[in-house]
Amino acid sequence: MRELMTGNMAAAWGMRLAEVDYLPAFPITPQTEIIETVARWVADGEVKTRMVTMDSEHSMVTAAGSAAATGIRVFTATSSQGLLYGMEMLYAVAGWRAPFVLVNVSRALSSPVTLEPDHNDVLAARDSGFLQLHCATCQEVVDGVLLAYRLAEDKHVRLPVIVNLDGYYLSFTREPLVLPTLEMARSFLPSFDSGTIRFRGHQPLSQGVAVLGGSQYSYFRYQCHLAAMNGLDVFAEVAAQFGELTGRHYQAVNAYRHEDAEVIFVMMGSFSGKARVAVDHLRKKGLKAGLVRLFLLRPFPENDLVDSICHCRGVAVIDQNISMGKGGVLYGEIASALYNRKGKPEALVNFIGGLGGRDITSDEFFEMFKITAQAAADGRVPSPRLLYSRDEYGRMQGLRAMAGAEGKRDDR
Amino acid sequence: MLSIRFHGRGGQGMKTASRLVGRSFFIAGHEVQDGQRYGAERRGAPMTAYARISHEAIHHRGIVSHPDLLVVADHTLFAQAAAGVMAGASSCPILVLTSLSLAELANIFSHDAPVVRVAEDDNSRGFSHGFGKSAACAGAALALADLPFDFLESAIVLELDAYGKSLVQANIEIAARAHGDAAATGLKLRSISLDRHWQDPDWIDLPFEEAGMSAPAIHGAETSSVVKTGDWRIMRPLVQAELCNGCGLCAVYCPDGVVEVGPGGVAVVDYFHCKGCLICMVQCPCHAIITQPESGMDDHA
Repeated sequence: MRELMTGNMAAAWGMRLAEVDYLPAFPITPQTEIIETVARWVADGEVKTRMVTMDSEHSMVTAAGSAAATGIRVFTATSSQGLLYGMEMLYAVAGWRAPFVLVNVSRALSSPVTLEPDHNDVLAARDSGFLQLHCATCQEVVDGVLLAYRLAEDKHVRLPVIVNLDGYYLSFTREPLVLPTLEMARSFLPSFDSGTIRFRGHQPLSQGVAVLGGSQYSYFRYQCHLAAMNGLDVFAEVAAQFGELTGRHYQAVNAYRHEDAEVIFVMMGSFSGKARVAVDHLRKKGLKAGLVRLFLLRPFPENDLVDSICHCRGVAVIDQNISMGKGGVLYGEIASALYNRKGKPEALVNFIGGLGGRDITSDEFFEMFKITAQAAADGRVPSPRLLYSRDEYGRMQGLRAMAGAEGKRDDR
Repeated sequence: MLSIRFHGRGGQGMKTASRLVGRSFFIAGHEVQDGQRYGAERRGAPMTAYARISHEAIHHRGIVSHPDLLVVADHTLFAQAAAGVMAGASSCPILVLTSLSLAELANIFSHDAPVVRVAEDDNSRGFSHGFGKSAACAGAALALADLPFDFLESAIVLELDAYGKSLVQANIEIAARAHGDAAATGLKLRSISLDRHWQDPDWIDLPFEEAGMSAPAIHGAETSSVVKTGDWRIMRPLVQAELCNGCGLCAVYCPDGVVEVGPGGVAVVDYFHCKGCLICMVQCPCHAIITQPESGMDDHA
């Protein structure tokens, strides 16, 4: 049966269907609704999860990792500055090889403080050892949480997983979705068989120990990398099982009208819906546009990605993030994947858009298509382009004048 | 696809209105999407919500930049540039929930497309009856979108269930009246085609500017004094001088520092800046502060 629910509600349902044992929580906009929903279920006795409110995200991630290291199923959620506050422990618990699921509701980072989404928060965790799924619909959120547990708990992986959804565009947006039944969820994700992950009073165990010397350190760190890479095959396997059960087939790389495309947009997250609409409009005008979206970012599905874009003439990478002093983060990842391939696209163009939830309009997708096609034709690839109009700059100047900052130069 | 954008202030029920519209069409078997955008401060601050309705899966997301219908719950928003009420809405019909007449509305804003007035019900004012506004707006919007009232009735039962039977019933009655009134105008919504002419987005290369200008800093206290946050108020706190003992607890607890004990030993509220959170009323040990709905915002400050 179809239901109408927000991305936050879908995340809470994912946790509920996974029959999570323990949930350490700390609220932050726009994630709060997830915690509120679960708290109500816990209070009403609808779920048996043990929920504990923590003093900070640092403690929250520590508690999540510690609980997962005893062999129980753990869920937690945060956003933005919260993810950054817990960052030290993200790296630590991944190194413990403690499997659990963390939902991140993307929200752009300070400063300036803001509420709407971009991906700099979740990308800051890119190298932590957490695997990453990037959702584009509310349906993907609930399904993604279940897929993430299978990934995390697989013995070939055993790493924590972040499921990312965009604040507002998914978190506070209701749309129809189908909830898996509890029977379906149990069949896909049986109760956690923790294997060697256990902690008993009579069996002392030191986890996450210190090592002195790079050799031992290298061993442990590279094991994490190998485990993360195993996630590619494990994802394909569990996604196939999920598809058989539910009829919803997930792929690490989602491609839309890409087969004969001349220009392909590459992006992540819910803004790809806007790109999809633009692709249809461009096609109606006879322009061969396509869209490729990464659902799985870590491990990086390099072969699938290259296969889906290698044949086209130009690729427009739309980064909803910015690495200060470089450009888009995704752009570098796509460039490194293509570099050694023969017959790669003539042009790889970087656009920075949707920062802090700024809209990306259909007109802008048309313009990106045009610029990328032109770059493929004449071989001149422009520098990263911020999607920012003259009109916006004019309004910024007005605000700056109101703030008394116009013309303030450091002449000393 | 039909796109409806709602404008209101936090607490006026426009989130609920968007959800009632979304739910009604969902029950009727359509593809829908509803959502909201608001800032850090809530009650009284301008916010927007939206609903999209289609026969096919909806891939568009986020704010509706070119609505087919605009719903405005508070006519004072037209005067606030930051609320962006008219953005992209030059050719779509507007529903306004108001106690003003159409002629009075025409003095506030001019519009080439039809303006439909939703009569503000006495029950729809204030905190405790905030849902009346959402039911009225949803009722009128659905009438223009040509959806029979039954679907909205089911939606109200589902969406407002937690508030109890009597409130659900009251909302159904308000919604039915607004639906009937709007249907009587004979106006029918048309979906404005998205396949517009392709426009150059007019991007610029953002120039480097020194940090003195380009860091997010506000110089001087002027901005906080000239912004009329009093417009956010839905309920006005009124100090009854004869009951006030001048203890000043209201001033201590006021999060915006807009209450002080005046020379007469009685608390005085700065209505230009008071956002109407009513913390003063809750804290007052003498129960000297009562509330009054802000029916119009033109007569004070």
